[in-house]
Amino acid sequence: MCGIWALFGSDDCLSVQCLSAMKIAHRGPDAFRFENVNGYTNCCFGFHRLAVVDPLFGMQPIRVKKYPYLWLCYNGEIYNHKKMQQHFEFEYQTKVDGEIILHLYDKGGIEQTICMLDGVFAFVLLDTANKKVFLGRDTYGVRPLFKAMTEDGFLAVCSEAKGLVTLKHSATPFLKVEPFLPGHYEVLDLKPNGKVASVEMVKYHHCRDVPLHALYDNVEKLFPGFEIETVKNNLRILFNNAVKKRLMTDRRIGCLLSGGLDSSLVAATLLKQLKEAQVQYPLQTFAIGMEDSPDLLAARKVADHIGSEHYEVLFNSEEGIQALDEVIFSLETYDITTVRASVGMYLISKYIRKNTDSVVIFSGEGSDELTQGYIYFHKAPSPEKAEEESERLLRELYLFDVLRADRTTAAHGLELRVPFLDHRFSSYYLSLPPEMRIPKNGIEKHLLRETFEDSNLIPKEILWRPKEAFSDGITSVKNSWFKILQEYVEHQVDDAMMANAAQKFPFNTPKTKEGYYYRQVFERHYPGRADWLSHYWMPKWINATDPSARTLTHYKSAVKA
Amino acid sequence: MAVFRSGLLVLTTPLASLAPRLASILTSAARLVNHTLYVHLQPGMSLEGPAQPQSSPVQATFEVLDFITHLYAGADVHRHLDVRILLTNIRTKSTFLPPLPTSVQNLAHPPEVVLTDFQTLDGSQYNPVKQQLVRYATSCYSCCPRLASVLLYSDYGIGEVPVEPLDVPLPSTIRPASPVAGSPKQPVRGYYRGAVGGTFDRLHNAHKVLLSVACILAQEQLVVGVADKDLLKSKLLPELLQPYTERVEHLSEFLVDIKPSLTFDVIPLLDPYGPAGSDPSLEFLVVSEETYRGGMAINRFRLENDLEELALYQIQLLKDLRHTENEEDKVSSSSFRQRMLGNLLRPPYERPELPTCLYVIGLTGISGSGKSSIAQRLKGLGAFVIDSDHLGHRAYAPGGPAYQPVVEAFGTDILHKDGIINRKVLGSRVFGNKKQLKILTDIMWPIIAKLAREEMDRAVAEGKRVCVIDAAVLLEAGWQNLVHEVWTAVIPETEAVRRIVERDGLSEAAAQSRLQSQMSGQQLVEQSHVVLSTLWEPHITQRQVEKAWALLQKRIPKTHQALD
Repeated sequence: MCGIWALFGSDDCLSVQCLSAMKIAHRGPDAFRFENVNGYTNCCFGFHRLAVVDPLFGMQPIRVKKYPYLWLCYNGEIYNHKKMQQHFEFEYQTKVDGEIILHLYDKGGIEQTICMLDGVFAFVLLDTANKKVFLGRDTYGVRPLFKAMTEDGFLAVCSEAKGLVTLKHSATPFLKVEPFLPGHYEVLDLKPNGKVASVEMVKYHHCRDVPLHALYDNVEKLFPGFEIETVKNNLRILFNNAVKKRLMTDRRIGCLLSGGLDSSLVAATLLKQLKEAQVQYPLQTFAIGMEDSPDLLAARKVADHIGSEHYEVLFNSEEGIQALDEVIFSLETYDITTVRASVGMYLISKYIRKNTDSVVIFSGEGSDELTQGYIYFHKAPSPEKAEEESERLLRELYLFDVLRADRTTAAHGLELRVPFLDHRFSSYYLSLPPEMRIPKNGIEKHLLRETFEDSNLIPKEILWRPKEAFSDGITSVKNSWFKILQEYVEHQVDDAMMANAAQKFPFNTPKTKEGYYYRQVFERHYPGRADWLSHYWMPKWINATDPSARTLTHYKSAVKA
Repeated sequence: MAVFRSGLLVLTTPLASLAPRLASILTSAARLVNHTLYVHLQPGMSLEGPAQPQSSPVQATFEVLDFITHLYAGADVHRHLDVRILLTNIRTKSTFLPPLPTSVQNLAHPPEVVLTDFQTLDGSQYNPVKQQLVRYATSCYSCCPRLASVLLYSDYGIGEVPVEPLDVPLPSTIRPASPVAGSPKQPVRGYYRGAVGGTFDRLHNAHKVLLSVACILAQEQLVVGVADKDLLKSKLLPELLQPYTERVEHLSEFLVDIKPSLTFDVIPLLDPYGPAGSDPSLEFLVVSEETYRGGMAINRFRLENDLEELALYQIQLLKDLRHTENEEDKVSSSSFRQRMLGNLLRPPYERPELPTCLYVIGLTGISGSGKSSIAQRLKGLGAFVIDSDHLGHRAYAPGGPAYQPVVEAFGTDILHKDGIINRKVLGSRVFGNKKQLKILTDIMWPIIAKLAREEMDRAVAEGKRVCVIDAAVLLEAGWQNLVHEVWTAVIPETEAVRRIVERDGLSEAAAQSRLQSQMSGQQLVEQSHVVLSTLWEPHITQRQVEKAWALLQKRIPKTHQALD
């Protein structure tokens, strides 16, 4: 994982401002670079890097001799950078995949460039010749990007909000920090004094559209039509390819394995791909839970089946509760579902970093949103409504699941890869008829399960295992993580505080003690920043004050089924 | 005179004649500025001419490098002052000359006052000169509004015994590692990219010399290796080292302040070579006297790998004029860490539930750290000492509060024939068994805590004001809840092993194993308010303890102090 940070038009001293860049040092513990822009003493870049082979290899800003006026600070992976190089006959100067952005930009400008990128990314591109600054972020916001901008043209950009909240600007005592929208790029003018002015904000890709870079893809030809066997075959091709292209790294690859459908498919496919690539080391898989939890048992079965080197990480209620404060600090959110689900992921990431040499970690994020995996989809009034909801969830991923996935891993210097959010796989899935994608026979994700039914990739009992809400999946049968949380917040928040909640927190007023407690911790770390979360994650088509699947009546019947 | 937090000192005298007066100038400046003093070198500039003076490039020569060393050495007397020599206008001889900045440079601590050594003809505080000084300063750097200005010359001539000038500098304290040593006026060669390395703990003036020379030599990029992990193990008092991120933070702020035009790559140094051993684009390496051999080794390594040798620039170590008996005579971070022993490192806990007139210290440390020796010294100074091991023995005794629960939990076979608990048998029962050990500590630790509380009441009855709980497992047991401050004795693990072998007759492996089962010194220090070390002679330990005790007397609340 990397951390990017850039300032334009800073009136305050750069050496003080660059202390803000240190707030995201966890994202790239191996090296830090600070670089001023020639000719603009109030513009600079900061960059944190996970080392590859040599600590200085891949340092940024990326600059190449051919385009001395271009400065690129970039976080992500561009999987098709070699393909683009061959196709357009670019001469690469570095081995950094992001260099492709400079060449494409020189060739066709920002719109063409960003549409051609197959991967996950967030970047700041400075063009001093044309006096332009460009910001861009991938379709789902897998890689984070935050922005602070004042009316007088001070611009600050960072991978995490915490790298911006301590910046100083004399004219604006309280800098408004907001997430940069996924699937968008922004064009800004750079003035001679280093200040900027926004020209336009463009949405360049919608999740249901086939991406432009598919024209140059080397995936085998897909068969047309929506006959069930054709669709299943195409999905297998695209999913395999989504995993395969993500093997691009020199660091050791590992995989989170919760024992659920998604992570099991990822782990199994990944292991198969690694074998085909003749990778020598065994695949390390990781599961976390409390003692005797259902997820650990399921994960063990999958690991045995596929033959991975499996690690089970246990945590108890004290460890879970103790982690809450730093989890919320890492996350930069107080969303209830997100915080709950993040504790386990945060603790397992900590374990992986400390005890293994796996750094690039695969995971199953994005599948529930894409394939209508949440239990409440059983309540969808129609396939078209379900489709709408799925796309809404995907649009909002950057506030919830991909935010969680990024922050909990990046907090410990790991780099996450999420094949289910592959552009080609997801756009194909979303192009299928809505009735194909809804829960079937009382089983959610039926199409996905059916797709891999005959492959013997994972055990049948896992393939068709009903979904556990995350806080139940990692939970011991003796006492659930959910219950532990409720008992804890009961002591932290009294009824008088709840009665006063609307007055104390007028925006996104917490309705439960758990919500109140998370908000309280959040406000301590990030006072006045509650608008980073526009709304709580909440299921549709049911009356709920709590987002947990376990409070849904259908959950119990789904479990029995 | 008014005191300013930050100031800018503009030096206009030619360097050769400036050196003898440097100490006086710094002393005068240190009376006016109490936090950060920036120094801008512009030798030969006049502030009395008709035209507004402009900043112009200063040729980097060995004389300039020597002067910088000299200035930082002189600054070390004023330890409260963070002196930073600005390098933006100092240029090496090279065909590659980046343009001068077109706008004023922002500084981390904008100057509130600008000072100069410039001497007016009549020695007065001549207003037109002051105005030119202010305009000059604000044209180069972003300063505070209502910037004050002071001409220092008249200040150190009036009714004062002149401060002894520092020794005349050696002809060449900074030199390339080549037989052809340069004359003072010889220009310093510039390079595109270079490297410098170190631990950079508690950034001090010797570090600043090293970094400044590296910043002058580099024109484009400087790689700064910061020691971490294995390279820290041989350091003195490693538990008191600043964390890596903190060292990088201070380092980055200093570097960007003095030469923002450079690109800085800050990386952790995990082995003696670092990128200097393998990066073909690096051209020079700045080393100190004590790391010179490391630089030579890097060059041998590079030659073996068909890489060009790095030009080595060696810095002489700064003398520490105020070092004490057991400290090194050079300015070093380990001396600073030694000076921290006995100091309060973080605010004490508030413990309203403890007796109001008693101040409680929890003393801990790994086996062999000399904790008990420190406890006895504190007792000699007037503290009431509670020995947790002794309380444990009382608790285990027949009729003691732990006797019955322990026997019930572990069975009667842990008893001697006379009914006393056999500590060896009990120890072997819990050794290597986390569950059994937890059962035992869950019984013992609350009981010992309760007994300690009773001892505190005895201390109050005896009229004691300070109580010390001597407890190896203070933090493991959660007994920090019983104390206002945690004090930790630290010792290198190798020395601890030696002492355990000598004292308890254990094998080295057994001693190692015992230490592995405890919290490390590092973990203890991270939660400690005061750190002490028995590494040196007993009288050094006594001096540390007396210092800690004296500081403690100053800070404990009035109600804890003895009434006259």
